[in-house]
Amino acid sequence: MLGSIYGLIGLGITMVFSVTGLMNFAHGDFMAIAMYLCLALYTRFNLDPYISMLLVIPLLFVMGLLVYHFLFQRMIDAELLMVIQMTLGMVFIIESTLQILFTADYVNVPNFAYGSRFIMGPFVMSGSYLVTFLIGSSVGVALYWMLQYTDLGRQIRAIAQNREAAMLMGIQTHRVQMIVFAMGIALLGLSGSLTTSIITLQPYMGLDFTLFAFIVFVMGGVGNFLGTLVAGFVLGVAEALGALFIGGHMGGLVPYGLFVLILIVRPQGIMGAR
Amino acid sequence: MSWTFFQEHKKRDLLFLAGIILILFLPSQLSTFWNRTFAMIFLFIYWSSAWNIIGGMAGEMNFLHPIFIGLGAYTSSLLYLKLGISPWLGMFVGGIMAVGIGVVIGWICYRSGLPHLSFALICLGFTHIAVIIAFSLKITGGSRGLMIRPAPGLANMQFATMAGYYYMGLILAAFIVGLSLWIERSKIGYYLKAIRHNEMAASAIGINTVGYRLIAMAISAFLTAIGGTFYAQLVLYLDPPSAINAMVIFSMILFCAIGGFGTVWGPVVGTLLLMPIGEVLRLYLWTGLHLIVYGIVVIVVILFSPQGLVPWFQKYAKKKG
Amino acid sequence: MLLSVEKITAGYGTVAIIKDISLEVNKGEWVVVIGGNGAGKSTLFRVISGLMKPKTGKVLLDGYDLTALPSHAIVELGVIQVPEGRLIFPRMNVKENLLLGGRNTRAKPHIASTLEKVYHLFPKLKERETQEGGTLSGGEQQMLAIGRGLMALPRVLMLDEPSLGLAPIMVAEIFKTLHMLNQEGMTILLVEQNVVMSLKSSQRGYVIENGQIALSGNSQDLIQDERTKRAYLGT
Repeated sequence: MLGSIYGLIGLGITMVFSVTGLMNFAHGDFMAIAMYLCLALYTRFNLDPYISMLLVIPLLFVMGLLVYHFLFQRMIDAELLMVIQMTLGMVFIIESTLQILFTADYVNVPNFAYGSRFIMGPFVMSGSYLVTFLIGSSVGVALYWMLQYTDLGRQIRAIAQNREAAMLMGIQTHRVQMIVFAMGIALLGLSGSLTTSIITLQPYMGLDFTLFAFIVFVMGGVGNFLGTLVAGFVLGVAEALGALFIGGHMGGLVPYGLFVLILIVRPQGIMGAR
Repeated sequence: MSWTFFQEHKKRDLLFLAGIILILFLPSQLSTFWNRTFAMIFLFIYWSSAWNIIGGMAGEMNFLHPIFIGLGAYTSSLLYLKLGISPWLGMFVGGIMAVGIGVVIGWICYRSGLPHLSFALICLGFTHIAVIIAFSLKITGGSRGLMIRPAPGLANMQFATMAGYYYMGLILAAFIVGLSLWIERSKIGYYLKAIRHNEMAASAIGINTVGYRLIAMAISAFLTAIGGTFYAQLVLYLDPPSAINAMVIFSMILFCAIGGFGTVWGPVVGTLLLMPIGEVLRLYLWTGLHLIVYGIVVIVVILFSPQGLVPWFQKYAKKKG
Repeated sequence: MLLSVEKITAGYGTVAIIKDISLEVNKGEWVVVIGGNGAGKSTLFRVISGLMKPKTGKVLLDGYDLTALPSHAIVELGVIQVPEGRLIFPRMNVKENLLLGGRNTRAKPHIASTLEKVYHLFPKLKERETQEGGTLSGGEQQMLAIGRGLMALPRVLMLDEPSLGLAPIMVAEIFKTLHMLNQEGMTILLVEQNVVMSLKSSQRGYVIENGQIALSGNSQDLIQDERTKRAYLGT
């Protein structure tokens, strides 16, 4: 069920990478920021995360713009190793700051049980999961539609396919890159807010999200937008199955194992690169 | 040779000698805390340099090292606890196992020409898997962890005072710096540099890229695992999240980045610059503050001197001289 | 004088690829820049289009200084480049490629009618409207690239080696089309290795050798001139 979220997060990274060539290891940490923001808003103002979402998303978009402008813009053509390193530095900063501000405790789910329980026929599903799935999927579809049929979407795809040609078309590549990056971060705001009620929060979870996002990214075929969404879904299902049939710690291995397997068998990812 | 040249040389050599004497006699003057801290610092210099061999010299973003550390630490400790085998021997076993895993994973990935990014991800994935496995196996003590009973004695690789660990750490660090210097000047280092800069071009001119990357991986894995054993003996307690820890390796990579990837002294400079501050911060101020400092420093360094501090310094020295 | 390049020196790092190049193109003219490989022709185009900043010199459009402008602004002003190697968007279809060409503010209002005109000029493109760019043949890609350039309603149309890798029949086709456009008043700046065809169709030409202008003058004169052949082959 969380597959749609994985797809979204992965899509964020895919878009950013295709358009800017940047690999942001701190990606997941922004999602963590979003979740902690929801937590803070909840503890201070008693705001339901689904409402906080409306605040968090624009906030994260702006954050993305700022971070890109001051940090990432200079790194566009730099060596990949260096970019990764810089983003790792950001990971350190963000995760430690979160830890200082919110303590290293695991903050638990029950605080946020705002979804009711839906009973659909033989399936009993937690309301939060359902909402997450619905919103996640629709946003995913909307994004895909945007990429294919709007002018901005075309610009994004153009830059992703050939940056110089895009510049010759009069596309303002710098601006679009910044917007795409900010969109990626804003997507995290969305994902974070939606899953605040579902996932246990702890300061160092950013890296896990990043890892998952990258797995989705690579599995879907590097740069392939549709593939990323599909891969996200597949991984979500795999995780659910793993938890169901194997359970416990080992169950968590299933998605990773699946990832490794698929990569070895078909290095271009499920739907092939680009 | 003019007299001034001789004088200058003599000055420099004396300073050098003084430095060495200082390092050697320091432990007796320092508190246990500081000796231990230095031991950790040396360990990190050691680990960073070990990572540098595959990460900096061969240019490969490799995150498998937590697994190597874990293997080294757990193997030697388990052999010691269950079979009474001295960690001095156990560490070699751990090292060999690390090499095994590293080479197998490396071979699978290098052969299929996996892009660097995918490889890095797979490494992270495996690390994650390793942590989960360590949690699940009973023999590794699960989440309760392993405790090694203090039994000081050289045979058990335990030292009565922290000074002993200090010296051992120093030896390890010195050893690896020497090794790195040797590798850098050797044929292997030369090929690795070529691979780092352009793998396709390197293989096109006949360098066996897969082979050399595996060699670098093996060396790095082996040495890192030995470091793992030392770590186990220093801390005397192991549990999966601390032994197989992504943050540790990210810190190591960070030190390399700050000092300069691929240079011999880079990891040393990076570690020496940041770690002492970090350890002090960790103790006296909020936990986690040190990581923030690391993060800020690395970002600043990258934005201003992307190659790291050592190359910057070399360029600067060249300009002056 | 519509487009003029004044004493441009540009290169990568400390290496100057073109030194002190000056040339001019008048409205409605077809000017050709000839030179062998590595002579610096593409570098010149990159500077004009704003993809690269020159170390010294200026690029002027109708007296207006383009040199410091970002590439999208230069496109807005109507200086359109059909780049070397076509550089079409491989995973977008023909129509999308063309639409992307026409998105600058000057051209956008007329985009529908311009599209019709381009299809009229290149019927093959209309046939393959929904086909992905990467699957087209070399000649078709070149047509697409030119069409895309035309969609931008250029005031100056720059083409970088359009004949590269094309069969002679295709090359003749392309030149015929360019000739027709020029007759209708299009200002063309062409960079080519194909000396004969380019000099035959253009009014004036420049010969670049080792990053500098070696010769210039009327195309008819240049064709006869021995030095043209030497400069070109000598590179």
